[in-house]
Formats: sequence, structure tokens, C-alpha cells
Amino acid sequence: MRTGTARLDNGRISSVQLLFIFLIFEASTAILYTPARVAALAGPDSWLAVSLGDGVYGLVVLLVAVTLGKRFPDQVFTGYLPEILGRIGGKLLAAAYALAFIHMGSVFVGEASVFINTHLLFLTPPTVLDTVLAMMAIYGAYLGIEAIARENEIVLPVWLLLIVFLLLLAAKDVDISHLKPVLENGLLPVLRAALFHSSWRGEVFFLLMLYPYLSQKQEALKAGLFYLGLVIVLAVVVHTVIVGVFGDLVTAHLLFPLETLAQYISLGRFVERLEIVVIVFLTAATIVKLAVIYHSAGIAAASTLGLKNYRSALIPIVLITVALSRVLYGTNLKLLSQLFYVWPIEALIVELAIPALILLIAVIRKKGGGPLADQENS
Amino acid sequence: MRIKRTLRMIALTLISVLLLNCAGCWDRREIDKLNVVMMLGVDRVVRDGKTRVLLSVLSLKLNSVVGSSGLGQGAGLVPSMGFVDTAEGETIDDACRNIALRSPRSLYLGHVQAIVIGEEMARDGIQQVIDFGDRSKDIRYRTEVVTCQGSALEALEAQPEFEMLSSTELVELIKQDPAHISKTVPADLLHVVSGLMTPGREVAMPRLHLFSPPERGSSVRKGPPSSSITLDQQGQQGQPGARGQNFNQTLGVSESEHPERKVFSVDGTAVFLGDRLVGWLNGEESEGAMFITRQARGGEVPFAFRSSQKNASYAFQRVSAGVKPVITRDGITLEVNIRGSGGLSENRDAAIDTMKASDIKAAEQYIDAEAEHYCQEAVARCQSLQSDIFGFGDLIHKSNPAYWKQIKDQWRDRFPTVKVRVTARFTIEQTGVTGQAVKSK
Repeated sequence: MRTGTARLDNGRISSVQLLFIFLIFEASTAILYTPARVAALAGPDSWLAVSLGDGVYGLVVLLVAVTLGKRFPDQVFTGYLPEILGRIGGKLLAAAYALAFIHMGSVFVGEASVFINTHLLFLTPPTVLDTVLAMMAIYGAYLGIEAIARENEIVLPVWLLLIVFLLLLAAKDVDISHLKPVLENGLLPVLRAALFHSSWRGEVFFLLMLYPYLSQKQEALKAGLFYLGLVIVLAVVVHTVIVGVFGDLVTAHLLFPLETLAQYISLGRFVERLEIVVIVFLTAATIVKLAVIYHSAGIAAASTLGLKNYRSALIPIVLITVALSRVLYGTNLKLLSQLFYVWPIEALIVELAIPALILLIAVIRKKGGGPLADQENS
Repeated sequence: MRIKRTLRMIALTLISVLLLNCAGCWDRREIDKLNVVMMLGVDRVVRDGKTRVLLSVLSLKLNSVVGSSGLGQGAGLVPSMGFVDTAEGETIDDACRNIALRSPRSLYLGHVQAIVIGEEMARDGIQQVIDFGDRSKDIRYRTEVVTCQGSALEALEAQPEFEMLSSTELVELIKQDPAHISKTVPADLLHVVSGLMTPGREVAMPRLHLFSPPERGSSVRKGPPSSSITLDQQGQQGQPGARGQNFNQTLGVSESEHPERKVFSVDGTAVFLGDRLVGWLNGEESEGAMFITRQARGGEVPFAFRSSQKNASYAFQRVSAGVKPVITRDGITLEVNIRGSGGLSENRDAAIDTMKASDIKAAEQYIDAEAEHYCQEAVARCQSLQSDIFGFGDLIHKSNPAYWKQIKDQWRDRFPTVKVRVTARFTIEQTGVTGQAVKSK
């Protein structure tokens, strides 16, 4: 039972479900907000920017997360921090992570409600949108990671199919010449764009919080690698089609290029007005993403405070995220400055720097054991 | 037990509160409270020395139908002829709101099919209009943008000849143009936005030409002699039953009682420099521009076969073009290669002996020369206007970015000096259902 309390949630997810959860992270908000900024930074080389840098950065984050997970296979990240850093330091950092998750949650809430508010329900108070989304997500978080993963098994395949369908319909308007000239200003702008975009790829660091729920822990790395491969293909195709249809300058000045792309689709002047499909499924996907982050935030808070049950932490977390998102990210201007200028740096610290440092300390102090993990797996 | 009851109470309260939500949402917009706009017209007017925007909207008028005829679709509402509303404002959206001063229904722009820009406005700059369309969440990038010779209001008031709504007619005219005539350069909002933003490319869009129909039996002439904004009465008079009677009446009308109502044609191209209208291309020049920009798919090339006047005609069906910038020390040359196939569609006085391969070959050369002439005319006209609607600069940017960096700031000055070498190769593959032409004795 000790492991039960350490994990706080007795759910189990398979490696495919883990892969799906990571994919929905990309397919919910990243796909919506990144193309404009990437096109602004990298111009016609967007497709290059989202493939190379992402792969490298994502792989490093993944390796760090998997190695840490292997050392503490039955605990979440915030749970074993005190073991590595000592009680006070560990608790403090765990609390910081709980706050970071809450902050990320508030950004996600803002991302969803700003989008819906801009494109569909512009008279509805954003607070209502926030609340409704958060309520659905909190229900998922309340039911546990297993329920979220299963819901995602319905949402993600349909959404991915629809994206493919949309991109195919848009493909006839692609003008390949929009992707030229290649590397006009050298590699530097592409690298900047890659650095920006890879912060989304680094969301694979949620593995730190999900690792203990994996039923086949030895497949974590495989699932992660599959994720990186698939997500890079997805990002490259999406960015290529968007820039191919609009050109990089027009893409860069749009708020939601994917939504505008769906608006632009017209097949025989009959298959038209598909943008609502995007809104519906992006909302569904964002709810899953929110549920995962609420779950992680709840677990992080509970393990920091030593609660027996993470569920009691959910309500305050949701209230805080909704309030925060209203105050800090209530308008697209505020939200975009967070996503474009703050988030990449925040991500670099939260996703890579701190976990890598923790891993280093764990290795030096010989905390957590590889052999133990191997025993568990066999 | 008590907890269970409390929980049940909470659940009941929640359910009843949530039920209230089912009644609708914040953003509900009932269809009978909407003014569904099909076409927007934007003009610039001067009032008391200040320039203001005159917005005219062509909206769908939904008539509720009593009886069985309209049942099924649209909840008993059937569209009738559109009607035109106008409002003035400091900005376009201001004018949009000002329409609410006289219309109880709020404007719904989700169905806007075309934006018509008045000539005055276009000469002053279209950035304002394009920004409005670009920013609006309802107006989509597929919306056609046209410039009207004259005022946009007149264009909206113009009478459609075949369709119920002039917006439908306009969009159909533009859509079928590349396939059948290729005498205007179509531009949807996306292309205008991208033309405004892309360095080395200028905006071109169809020209809307307004005129009173010369045909005496034209249904447009049946309209009331005085100008009227509502097209609705017109629609009722245009019913099939009344047609014959009106036709006879119209025949009796003398030319002095010319109707005010006009019809429009899409003919030629408006050429912009930056966001300002600087000139027009006529039909032939537009055809040349369509060849160069690879938009032409079908059309006609009348040509003179060993004669001083055009005595034969060629209908092309498939055209492709390749443009290659060649940069030498002397300057920039653009090599335009046009390939196409089609059929002989007219052969006056049997000038061409279709059985003779040499004649066909000669005819093809005449066609090539004629097509090249169209292209050269288009280029010469655009060069005189300094406006690179072909996107030659963009092409240089894409094929030779290093060189483009040197010249991009002076591209507008360089463009008129650019040499364009056009080579057309058209083949005659069909001669219709006859071979030899009819020879009169």
C-alpha cells in the first residue's frame, strides 16, 4: 500500500495511452498557437524549424524524464524530490512544481477560452467559458488518470483523422513556391523558431508525473520516441500546409492560422465552413490536456502537502487557474506575450533544466536505484 | 442517510440550473433577427470637407412563408431578392454599426461573398477595407474582392440578370472567368492580403463595369423609371407571369425613358500599386496577365491569318506557363514560356486550309504571335503603372534571394526597366466538328 499512497492514484495506463496523451498535448493548443509565431520567425522554413530543433530538444527531455522515472518507478516527480534534495529543499521544489503546473493550467484555460472567444462565442463572458472547460476537466482529473487516458482514446483518433482530412482538403490550395526560398537568412532565424517551438515538444516532461501509472514501464522510452516521431511528422505537415496555402507573411499575421485554414477550405464550393469542426475538437482536446495538467497539479500539491487524497486539492487548483487565467491571460494580447516570450524560457527551466539538475544530483547522491526498477519490471 | 439526501438535493439543484442553460447560449443569434449580408460595398464620400466611409450592404431578405410552399427548409423562411442598405461612418465598422440605426436586425457577415470597392476608395487606398475583412472573424478569405468603376453603391444596386442576387451573379462571373474567357484576374481576399504584404508583388483584382443594358428587351428595363433602392419590387415584377406583358410595354418605351438601373459586367482588371488603384487593364491585357500568372484555363484568341483583319479564331483549353528570371549584367530579363492547346473555332472565308499541315503550322504561329502580343501589352501597361502584378519580384526573391536583397528596395523603380521575353507555343488540336471550312460558291 505504500506505493499506492506514493502514487496517490491507483490507475494504470498503457504505453499507447501515454503516447496518445502526449499527442493530444500537441494537437490541442500547440497546433493552434505556434504556426503564426514560427512563420514570423522562420518564414518559409517553418517546416524545417519544427522538425530539427524539436527532435533534439524533445529527445533530451525525454531521456532525462525516463532516466529519472526508472530510478523512482513508483513515485511521481514531486514525491521523490525530498528524497533527492533533502526534506526542506525537496518540499520547496515540489511546491514550486505544483505552482508551475497550476500556472500552466491557467495558460491552457486561457488558450482555450481566448480561441473560442475570438472565433465563436464572442459575446459569452470568457469567465463562463473558462469555468465550463475547467469543470469538465476537473471531472476527468477527479476520476483519475485512467479515465482521462480512456477518454483520450476516443478524442485523439477522431481529432487526428479530422486534421488529416482537413489538411487533405486544404492541400489543393498549397502553392509550393510559398516554401521558397530555403534558408534565405541562414540558419539563425530557423534556430530561433526551433527554440521557440521546442518548448511545446518539451511537454513530454509530463512523463515525470505519469511514469508511476505506466503499466509497462520498460516501454516508456519507446512510447516517447514514437511520440517524437509522430508529432514531428504532424507538426511538419501542419506547418507546411498552412504556410503553403497562406505564405509565411500572411500566416505570421494571423492569430489562429489553423482555424483560418479550415475557413478557407472550399471543395467544389460545397464542402465549406469546416471551421466549427476545428473548434469542437480543439475544445475536446484541450479538455483532455487540462484534465491531465489538473491531475498532475493535484498530485503534485497532494504529495507536497502530504495529503492522502489528491482529489481534495483539485477544487482550489481549478479556482486558482480560472482566476489566474482571467487576470493574466484574459485577452489574446496578454496570452500571446506569455506564449511567445515567457513560455519558451519558462519551459526550458521547468521541462529541462531542473529535471536534468535533479537527475544529476540523484546520480551523484546515488538516490533511487536502477536495480530496483529492473526488479520491478521483470 | 442525511448526507445522501443532501447530495441528492445538490444534484437536483445542479440539474435544474443546468437545464436553464439548455434554453440557449449567450451568443444566440436567431435567424429572423439577422440581416444576412451577401455583398459589401465600400465607398469614400466627402461630407462637410471630411472623408467618410459609405457602406452599402446587399442583404438577403427572408420572407416568412405561409402555407406549404416554403415548408421544410429554413423554418418557413425563403430568400427573396436582396435589398440594399447604406450607412455612413468614420470607419467601416462604424458604418456597419450605423446600419443598426435604421435596421432592427444586426448585420451578419458570415455569408459575405464579395466585397466591392468603389473607385474613389480604391484610388485613396484599400488597406482599410482589406484590414476590415481580414480582421473580421466572419468574413472569410474566400470572399471575392472587386473594384468597381464608379461607386460601389451603384454596383450593389445593379440588377442581376440571371441570378436572384447580384452577389451570386458576381461571384459566378468571377469564378467561371478563368475557365471560359480569362479576361479578368480573379482575386479572393487571401490573394489581396498576400499581394499587399508580399514584397515584389502587387494587387490585381477584377474590374466591375456598370452600364445600362443596350438590349431593348432586357428585363432590367422593366424597372420603375425612377431610381429605387429596394430591388424587391423589381423581383416581383420579374415574375414569369408578368414577363410577356412587361416585355411588350418595354418595347413601347422610348429611349428617353432610359431606366436608371444598371447591370454589371466583370471585364478587365484593376491594377494597384501598394494599396492604391493606379490603373486598369482591358480584356486583352488581362488575358495576357492571366497567361503569365498561370491563371488562364480557357479563352479565345482571335487572329489574322494572312490578312489585314482578324479572320480566324482560336479557343485555347489548357495553358501552362513557366517564368524564369535571368539576371545578367545588363539587367533583369524574365523569360515567359507559355504552352497551350486548343481548337480552331472560326475560320472566316475558309482562309485556313485545315488539310494542309503548313497552313495549320502557320496558323499556330499567328496564334502564338497574338498571345505574345497580349502578354507584352499587359507587361507594358503594368510597367507604365510601375505595378508588378505578375509577382516577378517575388519570383526573383524565390529563385535568387541574394540578388533580391540588393534590389528589393528599388524594385518598384526597377520593374519598369525589366525586359520580358514571351514565347508562346499553342497547338491546334481540334477543328470543331468540321475539317474544311464552309466555302461559299
